[in-house]
Amino acid sequence: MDMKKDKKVSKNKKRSLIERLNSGPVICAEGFLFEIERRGYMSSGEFVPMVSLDHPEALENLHRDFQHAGSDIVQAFTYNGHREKMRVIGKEELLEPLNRSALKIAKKIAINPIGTEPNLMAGNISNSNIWNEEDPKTHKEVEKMFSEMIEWAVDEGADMLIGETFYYAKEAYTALKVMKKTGLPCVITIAPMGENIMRDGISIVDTCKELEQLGGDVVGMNCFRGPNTMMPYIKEIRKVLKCHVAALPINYRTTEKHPTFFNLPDNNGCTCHTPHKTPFPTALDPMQCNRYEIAKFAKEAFDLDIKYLGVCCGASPMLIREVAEAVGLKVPASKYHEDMSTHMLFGTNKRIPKHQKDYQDKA
Amino acid sequence: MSKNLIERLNNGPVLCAEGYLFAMERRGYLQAGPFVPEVVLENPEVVSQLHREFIRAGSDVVQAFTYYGHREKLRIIGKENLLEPLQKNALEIAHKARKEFPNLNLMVCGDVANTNIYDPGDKNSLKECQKMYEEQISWAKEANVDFVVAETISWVTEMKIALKAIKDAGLIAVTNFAIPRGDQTRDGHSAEDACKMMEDLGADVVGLNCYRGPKTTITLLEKIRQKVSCHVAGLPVPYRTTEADPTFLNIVDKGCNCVPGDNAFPVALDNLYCNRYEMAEFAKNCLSKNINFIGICCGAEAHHVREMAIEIGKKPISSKYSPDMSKHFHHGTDPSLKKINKEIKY
Repeated sequence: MDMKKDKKVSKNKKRSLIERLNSGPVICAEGFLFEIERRGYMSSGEFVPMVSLDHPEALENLHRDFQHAGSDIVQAFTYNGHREKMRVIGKEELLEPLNRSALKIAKKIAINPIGTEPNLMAGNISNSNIWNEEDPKTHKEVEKMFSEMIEWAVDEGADMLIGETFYYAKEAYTALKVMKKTGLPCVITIAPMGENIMRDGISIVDTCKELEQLGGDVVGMNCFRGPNTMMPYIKEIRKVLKCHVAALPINYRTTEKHPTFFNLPDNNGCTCHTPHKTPFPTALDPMQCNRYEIAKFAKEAFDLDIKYLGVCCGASPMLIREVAEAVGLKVPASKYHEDMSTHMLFGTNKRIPKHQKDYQDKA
Repeated sequence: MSKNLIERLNNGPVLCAEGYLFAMERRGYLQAGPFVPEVVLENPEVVSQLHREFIRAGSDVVQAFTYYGHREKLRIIGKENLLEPLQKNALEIAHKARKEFPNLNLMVCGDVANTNIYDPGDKNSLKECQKMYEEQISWAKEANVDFVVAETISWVTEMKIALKAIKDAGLIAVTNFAIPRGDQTRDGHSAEDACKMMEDLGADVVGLNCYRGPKTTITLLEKIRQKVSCHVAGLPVPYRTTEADPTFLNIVDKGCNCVPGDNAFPVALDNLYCNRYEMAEFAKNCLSKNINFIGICCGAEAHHVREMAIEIGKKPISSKYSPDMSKHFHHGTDPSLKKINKEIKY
């Protein structure tokens, strides 16, 4: 049974990313780093997805949760699983096994959908953190890092590729060039830092224009910014691009003063000691957006014809469901959309005793 | 190590992770509002995964997810026929989770809770409550639980019925009240008086769970600790409740006007969350006050539980993944990290 409305799909046919985007919204769950950290399978800070090797069952469960919540794409969890990060933690020899394991797990989930149409498995490359504008040697090195990961992704049967969280324009261009060589559909999303410009001085909109020119099938923004500080830029991007546009904010209330979650302060009643300089990354809980804010963002974006939607770091499966529902989809987890009619205090069901209903304001 | 709860508490703190309802809701497998744990029948592997996470984070107790899986709740959603399979499956899932960790000496507990039909003006409702508690406790006993928690109950009389049913079955009883605003049970007793009554009636552990965050729970726990001589339990919700809004049942998120009806409970509480360090502080606070049954209720995720466990001197499995910022690309100190990524203000 295909749960998605308005998508009459013959059994087992798998449409490409572009076919899907041409006929409606496509949902992509991201934010695995934070969710798997909360679940206790990854170190915050280090943020290397060793989970694909150390606890493959936990990663499978996570993908299934997001699939059940409506993600059309199963993105292989290779974010930060690149040569440089593996070098920092002294485990370079695990680079290829980690990547292949993550890709295999993602593929396994993607070809076992809840409805009839298989999900798309996406290979993933991201910010290298060694890109240095002044040092061309680093450019070559980054290109090599991307190339090896993309090769493994193709080898493991990726249906599409995602390059994400780039804060150097030219690093994003490099990623896209490597991805384009494969002939697979390419999503490329940037993550400008708090200065609201790419770190190599190129504006957000110009970077996206160039990415479209270079052949990006879907271009847009992901991570670092909550709905409030992503929306103004994504609007501009939509206006100037002809290709499909992607928007995957984090679910935190970033502000004009603090456009990203890196330096977002806790002005929300914190009295406790936190061990790091900033609430990022382990004390951001009280700056979270609720589901209504995330749904509002998704709806607003979709109404602007931004069709590739999701949530990044901080996302729970429930938020992915809210995004899907906000753009008119019905997903397996919609079955569990809230229904307050039978709540013990706030419910209207006739079985709720009057003395319970009368008490609701006092509770 | 003994599986007897009282001996364990005599020797030090026992950590108990709860909050299955909210966690399952956030993962998209349980409906807010009815809050019935049908997930133990529909997607049992998801419940196993959550048990696993809480155990790895340091919970000493695997609580069978039967909260709100009682006769009245199933009646209101028209599925009374599922009552027994649901209860038994939840108990079995908890036992299976324990078996996955044979070296940890985990305890499995059964759970009974607020019936929502108890009505002091209706004698019949007392009988109904008693029947509901007895049937659940008999299944828990059949499943060989190590103890039973009666929780989230706001009436002394309702708690008495639950306690009697547990003790009549010969089981260890933990009685945890959920105290609404006004700091009294719904039948007008202070938290400490209510707990003292339960101690006198044979409860092994008395205390509080749910409704209140750490700040508005600890003040009541202190009074309970002074009043009773048995072990005391504290399992707050990880939300920033205040003196003005002492429970999460009626609380406003001042940073947002996007919540239908303005009450952030139950599905828009995100911006009122406590972080892991606040929960750790609560745990430490409890320990220093000789409150040894320490836990967390609705809203809990494994990261809260792990930080609480570490703070009270445990070394949970997942502490392997405690934050290590030395290797973060921007905030890190590892000598191999690029200076260029640290000098900018993001």
